Amino acid sequence: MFTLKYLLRRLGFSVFVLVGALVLTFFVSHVIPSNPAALYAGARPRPEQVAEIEKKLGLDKPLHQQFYLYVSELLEGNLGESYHSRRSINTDLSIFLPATLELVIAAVLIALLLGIPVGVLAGAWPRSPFDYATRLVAIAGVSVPSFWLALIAQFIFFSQLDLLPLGSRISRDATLFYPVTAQTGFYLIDAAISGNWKAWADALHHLILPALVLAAYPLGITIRMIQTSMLEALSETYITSARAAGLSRRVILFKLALKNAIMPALTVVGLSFAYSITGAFLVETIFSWPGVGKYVTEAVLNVDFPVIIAVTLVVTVVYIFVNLVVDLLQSLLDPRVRLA
Amino acid sequence: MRARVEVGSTLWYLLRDRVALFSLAFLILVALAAVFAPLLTPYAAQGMGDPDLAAKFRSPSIEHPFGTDGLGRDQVARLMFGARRSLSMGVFVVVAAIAIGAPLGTIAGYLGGWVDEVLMRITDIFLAFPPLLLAIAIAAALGASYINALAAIAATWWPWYARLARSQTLSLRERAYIEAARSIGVRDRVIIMRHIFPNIMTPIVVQGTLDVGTAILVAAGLSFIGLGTQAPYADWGVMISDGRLFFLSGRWWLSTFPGLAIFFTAMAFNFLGDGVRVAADPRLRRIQS
Repeated sequence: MFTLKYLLRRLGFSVFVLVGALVLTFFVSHVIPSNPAALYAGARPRPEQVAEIEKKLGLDKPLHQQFYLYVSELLEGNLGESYHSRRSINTDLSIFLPATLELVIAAVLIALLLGIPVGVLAGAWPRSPFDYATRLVAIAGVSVPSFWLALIAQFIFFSQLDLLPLGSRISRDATLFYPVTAQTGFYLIDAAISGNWKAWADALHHLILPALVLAAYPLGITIRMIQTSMLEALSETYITSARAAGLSRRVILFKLALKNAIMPALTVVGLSFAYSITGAFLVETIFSWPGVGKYVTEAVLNVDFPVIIAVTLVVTVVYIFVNLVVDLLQSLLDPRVRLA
Repeated sequence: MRARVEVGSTLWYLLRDRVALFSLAFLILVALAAVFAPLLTPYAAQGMGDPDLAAKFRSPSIEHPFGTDGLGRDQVARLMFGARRSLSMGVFVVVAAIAIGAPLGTIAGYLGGWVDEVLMRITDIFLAFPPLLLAIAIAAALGASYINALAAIAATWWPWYARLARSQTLSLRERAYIEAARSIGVRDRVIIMRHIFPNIMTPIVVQGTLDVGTAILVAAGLSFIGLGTQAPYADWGVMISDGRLFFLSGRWWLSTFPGLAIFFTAMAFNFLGDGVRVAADPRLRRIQS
């Protein structure tokens, strides 16, 4: 059966890039730096600290043995220890990763739910005012620096209008009077499970602004891709023949063209996810959002290299997984993918 | 000969695209302001980073149209000197990425076989990382500076051009004139340099133009988290970062103007790139205009 063959091949590919990502991060952390031990020891290390880390990473040994050490630590599920806080990176990430994912998923949802219909309509009405306005919005979305947009959004919605909170995931009142019991780490899910609707509303209130800011870039990408594929679908010969056969405009647009134009929608999911993650690295600090982005930004300030490498690896693993799911879904919907 | 005709009609078409032309004019103005910054502003020393504490935190006025920062530096001068770094970073990242990616992709596409397989699997690995994240790790490994940020971004960007060059080469390889050249014994090197490379450059340049804006955004992002240009110099990302703590407490001019500078510049590159893309593709010309 084609599906099984495709599934195995696609899984094999994910395993391959996973191993490749391990090699590449090893290269970045052990080969590129002139003195990896000093980097791992953080800002202004003492000589004996450097010596200790040299021993731990096996830096006096040949590269393949260093790589073996690097991978075996990771396979034991040990991401190491933050130089700065001396806390285990595993513990830190188990708190920060869900926070970021909650934000990123919200942004992806906004980008898709808004971007797909807008892109379809813009493609269906080329050269209309709506088309031009949409193109402007799409280009603005991929041109605006997310961290700057975050500041402007705070200025408007917090300072001026006082509609939305300045930052953080939940208000202090909520943590004191109706705390969320952590289960999944996603506040909206945790609060809903325990029926803590006051906290749920509070968390949602805090989520809106950062999610909207993060959605700007993927929204621009989504609109452009869907619009382009709609235009292309409309210029196909089968549309011309449908027109010649006298089919109504509505049938042509929404029955024939849309079906083919919507195919890239799943590709857009993967891309939106990637760009929202990227945005999160820059925007979380501004919104005091306690996620991996803020974690990495602080690690950069503190020259906390183990954290930077661990986050790079973990977020990449998540990204590889998302791409796998997207591709498998696409093969379910579009037989051409699994036959290719 | 064929390639030259295409460039001619592309340029002709582009000249009729008002949005693209306006964007180009804007970018030329920004570039001129960057190059001639020392002549254009009376505050050149402040633009390069010297403090003038007597003039700190001035709000916008005729003397300082965009105000001054916490060290009394005129923001217009700062922006013009910052343009040198932000613009050059965006352009150099793309140029470096093309310089690495295009030859590799062309060779992979032309030779095929295991060379192709190996090179493409390497690009797969690079593209498995979310954009920016790998650049952050590499920049942190190299140490924070302008040149290291440039290297880090280019190192994560070349696979896109390798793939583009490869797919273009693949479609050319089967053309009759390449086959004819091969059958009369023209060496591979000559075929690649003379017949393939010139013909695949159009789509690569189009993509490159579109990418400069994104490269400026990514570079500003690295600078914003402290991995790019270091004090006393500034680029636009650094300026937003410097102004951020004062932004909500009334000193709005600090982050606003560098942000607008990035925004408009990236937008201009996107409009220009779009214009070039449509102009260079007869099929798109028909659909889009």
